[in-house]
Amino acid sequence: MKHLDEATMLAIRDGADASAEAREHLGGCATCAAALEGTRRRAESIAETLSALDRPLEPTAAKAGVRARVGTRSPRTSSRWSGWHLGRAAALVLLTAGAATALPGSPLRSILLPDSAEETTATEAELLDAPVTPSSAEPGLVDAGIQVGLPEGVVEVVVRGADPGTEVLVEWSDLAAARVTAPPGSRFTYSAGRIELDAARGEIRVVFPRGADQISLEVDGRSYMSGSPSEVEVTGPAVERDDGSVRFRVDDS
Amino acid sequence: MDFDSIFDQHYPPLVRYCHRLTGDGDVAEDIAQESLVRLFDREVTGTEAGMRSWLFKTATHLVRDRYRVETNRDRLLMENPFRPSGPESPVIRLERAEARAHARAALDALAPRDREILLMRYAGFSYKEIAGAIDVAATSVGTLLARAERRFAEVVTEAGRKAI
Ligand SMILES: [Zn+2]
Repeated sequence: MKHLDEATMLAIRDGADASAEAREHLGGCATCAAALEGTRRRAESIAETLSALDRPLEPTAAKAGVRARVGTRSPRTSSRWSGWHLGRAAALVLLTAGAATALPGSPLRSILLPDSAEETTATEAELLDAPVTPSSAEPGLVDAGIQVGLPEGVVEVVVRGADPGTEVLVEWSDLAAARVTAPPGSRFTYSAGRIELDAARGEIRVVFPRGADQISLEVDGRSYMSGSPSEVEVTGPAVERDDGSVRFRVDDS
Repeated sequence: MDFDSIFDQHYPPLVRYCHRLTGDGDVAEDIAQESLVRLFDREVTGTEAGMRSWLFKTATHLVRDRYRVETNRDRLLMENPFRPSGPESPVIRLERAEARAHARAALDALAPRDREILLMRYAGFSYKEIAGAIDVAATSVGTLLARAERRFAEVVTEAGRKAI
């Protein structure tokens, strides 16, 4: 007697198409019935193992972010400084274990968002309403972060209060957003294309989008890097550098 | 369905899937959000199941296109948790970190397509839906899934043995 192959067994286990003969065989074959039971146990065990990877989610800020981005996508322009006119850019908060505040009414905002103040104000009100409590049961593994989208080009990151010895890791990403993460207790201020960070003690991570036209990173008043992603000028105290990242160690100067 | 109900229903499972797929919680949230923005921008409509398939397929393709596995933030954090304080006992934290490491190692041992198939199945998709999202024949899903499950279980068992 020919027993069922594993693929057929899984199809039966998972309620997918399986032939009538296969089902009939299973009814009369203790060997295959036992093997089927084995695949069920394996499935339970795999599901349990996979669940170890999951972490609690706080989707409130994400929802506001998605809502803000829907319908705002405009074709990218190639003009170098077009990023200053982020007509309909939106900002969004990602992980918020620290405090995040927008810059309502600041000159910066009016430069960056010349013609969509109303739309963006509503969005930011929602963002500010978002809970800023740690979102994970494992606080040790979660730092605070903020991310701003940039449908068009420029992103500036300004860090304040970084003690000497603080490491600042800059990486590049293919995603269309810039992100800064820092230890819990850090304070973020943001608007479209700009993130300001008052840093708590610990490593700071900055992710710049490769697709940006212009990026800049300033730490306590000193320029660390600036330019376009393909020709970035590094002027800060870099201790390690490769194609995908630069690590700085804040020095005394 | 309105924005809120679509978001509430699909965002959490989509993030979970992307997180399992990439090993990076932040990237997972980015990709889930990007997928939802596209869903709304393109005014994708249909049944709940249809929308769900569309979102997972879009997210899978975004991961394939954009995400480089080597910049894996969770793994870095797992290796260098720089703030190892919290309410949990160190033992529980360690066990959890171990379980995560085993799951990650097992997923990393799979070919990308096998990983996608396995994770979509364990996100509750039917073979037909998986076939549609991953671009494989529906008749191959069982065979590929069997291979993926075997390999996954092997690596987990092996890792557990080493840990003892
Ligand atoms: Zn049999």
